[in-house]
Amino acid sequence: MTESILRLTVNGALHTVVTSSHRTLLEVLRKDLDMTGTKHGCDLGECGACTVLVDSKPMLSCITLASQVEGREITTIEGLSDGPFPDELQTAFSELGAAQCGYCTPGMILSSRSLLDTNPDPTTDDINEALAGNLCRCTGYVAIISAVHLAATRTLGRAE
Amino acid sequence: MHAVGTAGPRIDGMEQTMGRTKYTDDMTLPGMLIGRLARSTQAHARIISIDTSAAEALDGVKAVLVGTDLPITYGILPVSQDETALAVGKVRHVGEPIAAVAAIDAETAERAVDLIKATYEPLDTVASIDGALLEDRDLIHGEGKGLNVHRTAALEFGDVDEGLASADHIREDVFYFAGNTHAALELHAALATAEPGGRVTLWSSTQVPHYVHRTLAKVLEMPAGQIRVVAAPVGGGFGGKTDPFSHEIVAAKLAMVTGRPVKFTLTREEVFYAHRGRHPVLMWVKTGFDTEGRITACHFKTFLEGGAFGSYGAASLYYTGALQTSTYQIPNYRFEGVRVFTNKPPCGPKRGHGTPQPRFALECQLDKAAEDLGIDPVAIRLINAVEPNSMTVNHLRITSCALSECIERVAEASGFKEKFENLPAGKGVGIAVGAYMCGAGLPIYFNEMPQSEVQIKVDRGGGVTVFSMATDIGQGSTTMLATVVAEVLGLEPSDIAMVTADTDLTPVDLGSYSSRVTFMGGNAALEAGTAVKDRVFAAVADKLGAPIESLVAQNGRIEDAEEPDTGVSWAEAVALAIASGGPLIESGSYRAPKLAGPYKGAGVGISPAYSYSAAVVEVDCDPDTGIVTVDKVWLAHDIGQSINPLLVEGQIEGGVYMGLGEALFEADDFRGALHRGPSLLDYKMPTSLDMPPVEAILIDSDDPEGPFGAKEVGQGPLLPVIPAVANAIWNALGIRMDQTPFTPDKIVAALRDVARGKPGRFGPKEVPAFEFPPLIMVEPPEGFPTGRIHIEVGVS
Amino acid sequence: MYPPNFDYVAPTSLDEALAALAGAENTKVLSGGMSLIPLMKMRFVRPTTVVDISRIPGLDDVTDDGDHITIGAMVRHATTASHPLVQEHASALAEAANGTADLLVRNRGTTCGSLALNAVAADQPGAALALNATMHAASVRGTREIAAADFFLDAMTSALAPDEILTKITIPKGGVSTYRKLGRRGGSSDYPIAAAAVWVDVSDGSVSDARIALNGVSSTPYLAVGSAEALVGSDGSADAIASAASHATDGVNVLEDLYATVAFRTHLAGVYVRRALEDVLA
Repeated sequence: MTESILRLTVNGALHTVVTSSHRTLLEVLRKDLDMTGTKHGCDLGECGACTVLVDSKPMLSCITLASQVEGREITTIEGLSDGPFPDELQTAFSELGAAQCGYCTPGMILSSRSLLDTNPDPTTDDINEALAGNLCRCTGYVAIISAVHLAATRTLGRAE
Repeated sequence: MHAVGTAGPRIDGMEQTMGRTKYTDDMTLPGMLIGRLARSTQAHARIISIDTSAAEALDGVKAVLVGTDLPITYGILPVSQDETALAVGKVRHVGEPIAAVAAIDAETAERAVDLIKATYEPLDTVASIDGALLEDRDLIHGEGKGLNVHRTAALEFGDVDEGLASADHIREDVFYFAGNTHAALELHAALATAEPGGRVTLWSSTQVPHYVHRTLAKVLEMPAGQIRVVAAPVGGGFGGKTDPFSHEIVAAKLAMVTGRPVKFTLTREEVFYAHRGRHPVLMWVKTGFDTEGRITACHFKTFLEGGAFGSYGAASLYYTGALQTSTYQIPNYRFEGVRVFTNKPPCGPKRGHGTPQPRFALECQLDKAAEDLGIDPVAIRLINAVEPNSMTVNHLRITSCALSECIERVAEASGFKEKFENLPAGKGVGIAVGAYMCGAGLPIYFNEMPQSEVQIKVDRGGGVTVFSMATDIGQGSTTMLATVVAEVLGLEPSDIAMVTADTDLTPVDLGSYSSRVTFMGGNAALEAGTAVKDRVFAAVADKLGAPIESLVAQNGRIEDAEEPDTGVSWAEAVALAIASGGPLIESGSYRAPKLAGPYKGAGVGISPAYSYSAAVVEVDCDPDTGIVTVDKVWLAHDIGQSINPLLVEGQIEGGVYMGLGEALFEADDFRGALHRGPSLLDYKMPTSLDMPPVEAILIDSDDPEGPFGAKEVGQGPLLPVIPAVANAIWNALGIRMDQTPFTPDKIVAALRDVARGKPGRFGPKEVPAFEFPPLIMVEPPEGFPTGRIHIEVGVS
Repeated sequence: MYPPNFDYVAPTSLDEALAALAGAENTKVLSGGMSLIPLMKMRFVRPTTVVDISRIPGLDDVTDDGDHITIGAMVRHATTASHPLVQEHASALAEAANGTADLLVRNRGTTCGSLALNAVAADQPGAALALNATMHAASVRGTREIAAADFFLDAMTSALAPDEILTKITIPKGGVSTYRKLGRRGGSSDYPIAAAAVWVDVSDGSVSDARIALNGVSSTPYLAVGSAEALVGSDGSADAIASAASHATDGVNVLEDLYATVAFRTHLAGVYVRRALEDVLA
């Protein structure tokens, strides 16, 4: 067993964590850093509830070792908003009912954030493709897709 | 109305999207231990021994429990008290909990579970409906051998033989609906603490804190007043968190034993074993029609595979027979059903509870009859559609009903007739309908108390807090209640503080099941809000010297409608009411009218109102690979009145989604009694790439007893989707899918049969020869179908 | 769920990584981890040492090397899917990468990792076979090249020795290729129930060479030799394609599982060979 000291950069802050090497990023975020916005859904990388951004790309924290992302920029749902000021996606998801039970929502929003960062004006097909790894059991994705469009529209300053 | 009927966000929407909602598994308490369950590796076996010594000796393990530590039986229904928290004496399915540990962390708990050694003496494994109906197999419940029958039902309303004799056309069909599961994204979790004085608190991802409360009191042998159950925000339920579960009871017991908080979070695999999902149902349906397609009689047989325990099964069984009549005027109706036990995870209620399976059969058969008779699928539904203010032959009281309008609107919006006749081969459209209860008419355990209670406390500064045990599982019940109260008091939903789902703090609401919360909780909130308003109005009328009748609550003020300038602010009005009458704390409640017909089983299916839906599905099928792509779904829903149209549309979209999943992919597959894929790697649900656009059409029928006329939407819209897909596949390829899910292999097999000159059909051919009990003959309601309609005038 | 405990090393040079593999028993190489970590959580593999190669510089390039292209050990599926060189010279592999799971997996999982693992449900091995890729393995004992046809031994088993790292693959240029599959959800994403990767070289209106590989059909991907033979020398007509498709599972032990019976899989194998060939010969 390797006990190691990991330096993880999460939401812009450096955290030093003493942990053993087999632990996943999801466990370290939730247990050691008390960032419970990142969810546990299937444990095997199938549902996307554990999605975080690593260097701005969405990844599955439940099948990523914390050790693997030392030195990378990790963003969780807690870090997407600027203090009390929500990300455009967070507002749009709430406004359009894109969160029902809310459990997939953090991962869904982070995948959407990465999409809009690289493709500010996505088509519905682009959104469907980008979110295919994030399962939602409540909404049928309909409101989620609308919310991503709405956030894009607002970010681009277009008329809604 | 300013709040009701306005599309708005959930009042906790930003909390959710900013990742701040604390689900049960997100909670941590000081000194908290982690619990894990050891589970049976055997499908059916006597337990010879369970050796926990190595687990107990492991460093970091604080307690280990086995079945004899919690021997009291329980079950959600009073008639099915057949579960123990941990197996006692025998195990009945792979994955049944046999022991539990509490340890300092999850890894230690997992290691401890691996060290628990059970030895078993195997018994016969019963793994199918046919197997359960053999007489020489070990009983799953009880000693010895015999039929593994859980419950039977046999009812006849009117005269089916006569009805069939008078028919011009009779069809007999056999259908199979595969079992499937809820797969809410949140894993079941429970966190318990025990205070030194003995009080126990349990936070759980449950849809039914009240029933969990009762179960804990029973199994722990404690006064209910010493137990507090809190339903934390639930990350999806769909019926999967509607039973009291082993891990909830065990968490509480381990907290009591160790004196430390104990948290359980099931793994995804364990959730598949906890299950309570959709029953697999084999169905035989014989229906007579006249030349215009009118139903003359219907005989329905259902065979439910229940899994290892009763759960809701006694009700599920009756639900497979109860609601066929809620959509179509069936003058003579016979229902025979049997639920069997098998050595599989127990089935229970999933969205639509017991009704999607017979709905699938009925709607597909109706489509075939239309084809036989040369009638179009829309017309045959319209000619049979039930009408408002009528009674069904099995004594269901139908009040508001916009079924015909649902059918017409959805057919029109989708261009059904044009497409049905003209789409090229491979493409097709299908239509189907459904209806669902707005709350079960009776509570789960017999009592005369209200089914929903709501209390409102108003602060001196005007702050309104609503207390209700209604449990938000994502459907938005908390926002619904806030909206109802805001409407009454002239405030905005976001002005209302909500305290919900806590047995210490909130008055009882029976829970989020049977689509009951809007209708029942909404009415209780309406009554409570009205009581607050009445007091405030009295005080303001006094102050202004205006008649009460001329006062209105609007824009955060209480005003004289005649002279708005003279009004007072809400906060001032509240101060006046408290000054004149003391604390401004009022309550309201709702109990459904007594609706049960005069026969055993009549308690299932009755409801103060029914929602109606009709769906058209358009598909594009690839005959080579068997892939069915759904291009679009149109769904019209009779909502009565939307409390919040945004949330209503969300429920429709979610119901369509879940129906499509069940139609196209989802099934619990077993090899013998062993689940073949208890993970999301193997249990495939639709992704964003699989979901078509949905056009939701809301129809307001203004229910006479619903709060502001509202009805349910959580379950009904799923029902027509599955048969509409099957009917669309028929239109596209000329093959009948009489078995779910409609996977590529089944499509290809049916097409291969067509190529060989055989009928293009995939489905079961027969049902087992089972001797149902003698029929209970029930007279149709007096003056059937239109007599004896009594409508309770709503509190509004 | 936890992976079992293990020693974790993250060397910053290939030599260090090879030394780590040589110096320990029961090792596993970790690149993206999208398969390895779930397999560890499910206790299907229990390494005592995990060697993370993601911090070794120079392994994440796709390069043009004259008559072939090279894909390094740490090239992620997302890169393979979108890289112009792969799209131009090895489109079957780009399509396989693009259809692998979802973006979350494609952002971390690697092409070489998928090949080295050789899971039944992987997309990459069939494409590598059809494209006649060469696997470049390194260990402290030296380097060696393994032809794709000799690499995929059985389910979850490749020709790599325990102390070897698949440092890169090379794919010869030329010909046209594609990858087509039926996924578990019926669409083109998700694990293949059956998939065909085909490569053809056409000159003067006739098929001069062809390789047809299937994956998801048997316990390990294979080259359908009979299919290729039926096609080579033909004009690529519908009849020739149909003949090729009819040999898709000759001599093969077809899998039966949750998703497909032997008969249905056999049917699908033919359908996807036909469709893939129709694509490349259109």
